[in-house]
Amino acid sequence: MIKLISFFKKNKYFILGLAVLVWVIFVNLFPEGYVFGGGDTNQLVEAKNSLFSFFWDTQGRTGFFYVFFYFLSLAGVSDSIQLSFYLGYLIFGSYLSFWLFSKLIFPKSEDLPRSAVSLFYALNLYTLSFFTGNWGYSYFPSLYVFIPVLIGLFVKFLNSQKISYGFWFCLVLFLGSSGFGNPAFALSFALLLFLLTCIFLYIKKATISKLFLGKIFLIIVFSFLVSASWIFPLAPQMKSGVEGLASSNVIDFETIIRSTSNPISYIFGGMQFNDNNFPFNFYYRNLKSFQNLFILLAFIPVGLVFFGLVSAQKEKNRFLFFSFLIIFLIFVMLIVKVRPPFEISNYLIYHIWGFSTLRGYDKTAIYIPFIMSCLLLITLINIKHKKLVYIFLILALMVPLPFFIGKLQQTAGYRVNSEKDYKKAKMSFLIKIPDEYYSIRKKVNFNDKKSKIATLPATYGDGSGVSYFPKWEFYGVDITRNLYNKKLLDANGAQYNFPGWGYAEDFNDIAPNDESWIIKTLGMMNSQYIIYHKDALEDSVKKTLFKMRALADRGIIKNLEENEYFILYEISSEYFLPYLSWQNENIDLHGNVISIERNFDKIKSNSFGADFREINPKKFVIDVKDHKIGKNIILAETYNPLWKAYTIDSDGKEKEIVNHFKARGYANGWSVENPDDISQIVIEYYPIRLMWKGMIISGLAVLFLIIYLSRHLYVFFKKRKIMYN
Amino acid sequence: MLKEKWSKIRILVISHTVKIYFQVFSEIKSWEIKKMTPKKVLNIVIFLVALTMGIYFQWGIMNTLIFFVLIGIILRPVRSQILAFPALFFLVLTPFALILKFEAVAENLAIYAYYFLVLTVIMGIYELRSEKA
Repeated sequence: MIKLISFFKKNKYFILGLAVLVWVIFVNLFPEGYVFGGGDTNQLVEAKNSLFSFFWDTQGRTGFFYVFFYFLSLAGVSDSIQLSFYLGYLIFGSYLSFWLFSKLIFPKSEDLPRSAVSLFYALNLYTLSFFTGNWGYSYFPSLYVFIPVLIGLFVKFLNSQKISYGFWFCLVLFLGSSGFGNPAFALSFALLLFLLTCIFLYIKKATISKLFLGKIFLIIVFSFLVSASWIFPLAPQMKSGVEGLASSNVIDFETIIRSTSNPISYIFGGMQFNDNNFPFNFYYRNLKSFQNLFILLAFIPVGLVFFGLVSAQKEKNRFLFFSFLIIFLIFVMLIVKVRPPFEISNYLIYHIWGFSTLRGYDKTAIYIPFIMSCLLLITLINIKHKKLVYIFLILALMVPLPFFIGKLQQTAGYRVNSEKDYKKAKMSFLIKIPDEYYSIRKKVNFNDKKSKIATLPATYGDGSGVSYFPKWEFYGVDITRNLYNKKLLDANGAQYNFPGWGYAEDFNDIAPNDESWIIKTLGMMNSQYIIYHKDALEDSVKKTLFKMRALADRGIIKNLEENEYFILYEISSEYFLPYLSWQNENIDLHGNVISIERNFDKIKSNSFGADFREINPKKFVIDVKDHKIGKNIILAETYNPLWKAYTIDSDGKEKEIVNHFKARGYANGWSVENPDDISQIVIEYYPIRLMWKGMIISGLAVLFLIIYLSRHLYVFFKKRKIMYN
Repeated sequence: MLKEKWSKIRILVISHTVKIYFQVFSEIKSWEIKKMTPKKVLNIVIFLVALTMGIYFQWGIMNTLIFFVLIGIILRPVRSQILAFPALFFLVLTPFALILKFEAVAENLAIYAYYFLVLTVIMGIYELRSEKA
C-alpha cells in the first residue's frame, strides 16, 4: 500500500495526464447505432466478418492494427463504441510513447515537464485534424504512435552504440509496421533517421569505426528483415507506382504538390493550410470572438522553443536540441513544397526518384509534432522561469479545444459544423447504415457460389470511385461492401473494374433499343446480384429505374427484394459467367455497348466453368487432369500483370504460364499449352505469394530478436541482482 | 522587352557597383588606411558583396540583409544566441499578422524567422563542434 501511494506521489502528473485523456474519451463518445463512413478510405465495420477481406486486400500489412478491432467485434463491442477505441489507441498510445521516449533520452527529467509535453504530443492541432476529419478512424495514423519510441531507441543506439538498443528498435519497428501501410511513410521515416545519423556523425557525437558501421549495417539488415512481410508484397506495386509518379508531367506535378503545400507561418503554429481545420474553422459560434486567441495560442510551443534558444544556451542537451532543430528546418522545407522560398529547391527534391511519393501533406508533417515536443521538453528542462513557462504551456494545451469540450464528429467534424449537429447536417461522417442493407445478408452471404455484387446506377462522385447516397447522407467508399462476403463492383468505380469504360454512366445516359447489354456486361464480370440504389441521386434513379423494371419484366433479372433504399436483383444464369472459366476462343472485346452486344453470345457459347478450389481470395487451384478443359483459362478479375498462373505437372513441378493477356476486354486470361502434361493450374496474386515469403522471413527475424533480447534482459537483471547483493 | 530592359539595368548597376568597389578600395588605400581596422574593411566588403548579389538576384532589402548576416557570421562568427533574437522577434509578429488577415505579411515574417533560425542553427552547430574540438 505504501509502495502504491509513493508511486502515485512520484508520478502524479503522469497519472493526471492519463486522467485528462480519459476525460477526452468520455466527452467524445460516439452515438450508438452510428458508424464512421466517408472519404476515400474503406472503413472497417463488422470487423469479425470483414477483417479477412481487409487482410487480403491490403496484403496483410494492416493486420496488427485491425486484429484488435476484430477481437472487440467478436466480444460484441458495437461499431459505434469501437470508434472510441480508435481515438483511445492514438491518444493513449502517443502519450505513453512520448513518455517512454523521454524516460529513455532524458531519464533525469522531472515528472511535470515529461507528462505535460507527452500530453501535448497526444493532444495537438495535428492529432485533432485526424479526428475531426476521416484519417483517425483507420490504420493510417498508427505510425504517429510509434515515432517517439522508435526515435528514442535509435538515438539511444547512436549515443551508446549498444546493439541491444538497435535490436529493440527493430522489434518495435515490426510492431509498428501497420504505420507503413502507405510505404511513403517508410521513406520519410528512413530519411529522418538518415539525417539524424549524419548529424550525430558531423557533430562527432558518434564516431565512425568499423564496429559502429558494422552495427549500423546489422540494424539496417534487421529493419529490412522485420519489414519483409509488408515490403515484399508491395515491392512490385511500388516499382510501377513510383515510376508512374516520376514520369508524370510538370502540370500534374505542380497541381498535386501545390494543393498539399503548407505555408511556413502555418507550420510554425502547428496548423494546416486548410479551412476545414480548427481554429480557422471555428466550430463554436458562441465563442467565435475567441477564434483569434486560439490562433495566437497555437504559436506558444514554437515561441517557447525560440525563447529557449535565446535564454538557455549553455545548458544540458544542447546537442540534441540543435540536432532536432536541424531536422525541424529540413522537414519544414519539405512541407512547404513549392511555396516561397523553396519553389526551386523543392521542385528538384521532389523530382528525385521515389521522393514524389512524399507529395502528400502527412508524409512529412507527421513528424513535426514529435520534433516540436522534443524541443519543447528540452526547453522546459533547461529554462529558468519555469512557472511562467508552465502557464504558457497549459494555455498551449488548451488549443485543440474540441478534444476537451467535444464532440469530435457530432459537432466539430468538418462535414457537420456548418449545421452544428450531425443529424441535421446535409452530410456527415457519422452515418447509420439502413437495416435493410443488413437484412439481405441472409440471401447473399449464404450463396456459396463464387460471384460478385454489382451496384447501379452511377451517381455523383469525384472520379475516385466513391459513392453518394443522399437518402442516408453517405458520401465515400461504399461502406456496405463490408456486410457481404462477395466482392462489390461499384457503379462509380466502373472505370476501375472495366478499365477505360464507365459502363454504369453509359447505362444512365445512353438509350439503345435493348438495355440487356448492361446485364451482359455485369454477368460477364461475374456479378450474380445487382443492388440497385434507389437512395442514389434522384436524377440518376429517374434515368435508370424504368430500365431496370423493364429488364426484370423480361426475366433477365429477378427482383429478390425491394425497399425504400434499394432493389436486390439476381442476374439470370443465361447472362452469368463463372469466376474461373475455360474459353476456347479468345474473342476481342472492347469497352462499349456495341462490342458487348456483338460479342457476348459468342463468349458465352465458347465458355464453361472450371473446377477449382479457393485456397484464399487471392489463390485458386484448378483441376485439369480428367476434367473438361478449354484453350484459355479466364479469371474474372480486372487485368493486372501481377495475377500469375502456374502449371503443375504430374511430378509436382511448377511452371509459370507466360502467355497472359487481357481477356473479355477487362479480365485476366492465360493460354494453356500442352494440357496433357498438366495436372493442375494455380492462379495466384503474385504479391500474396511474396507476402507469405516475407512473413516467414519477418517471423524468423522477430524470433531471433526476441531470443536475443530475452537473454540480454536476463543477463542484465542477473548482474543487477548480484550488484545489489 | 521588359526582361531585356531589366537585364540591361542590372548590368549597369553591377558595373557601377564594381566601379564603386574600386573607388572605395582606392579611397581606403590612399585615404585612411591606417585608421581602418581589418574588421571594418571586411564589413564594407561583405556589405557590398551582399548588396550586389541582392540587386542582381532581385532579393529585396530584407533578404539582402539576411544574406549579409549569413556571410558575416561565416567570416566573423557571433554567438548563436544573438541570432536567435531576430528569429524570436519575427516569430512573435507572425500570429498577429495572421489574425489581422495580412497573410502575405505573416508568411514573410515567418520566412525571416526561418532564415534567422537557420543562421542560429549553423552557429549552434559550429559552437558544438568547436567545443568538441
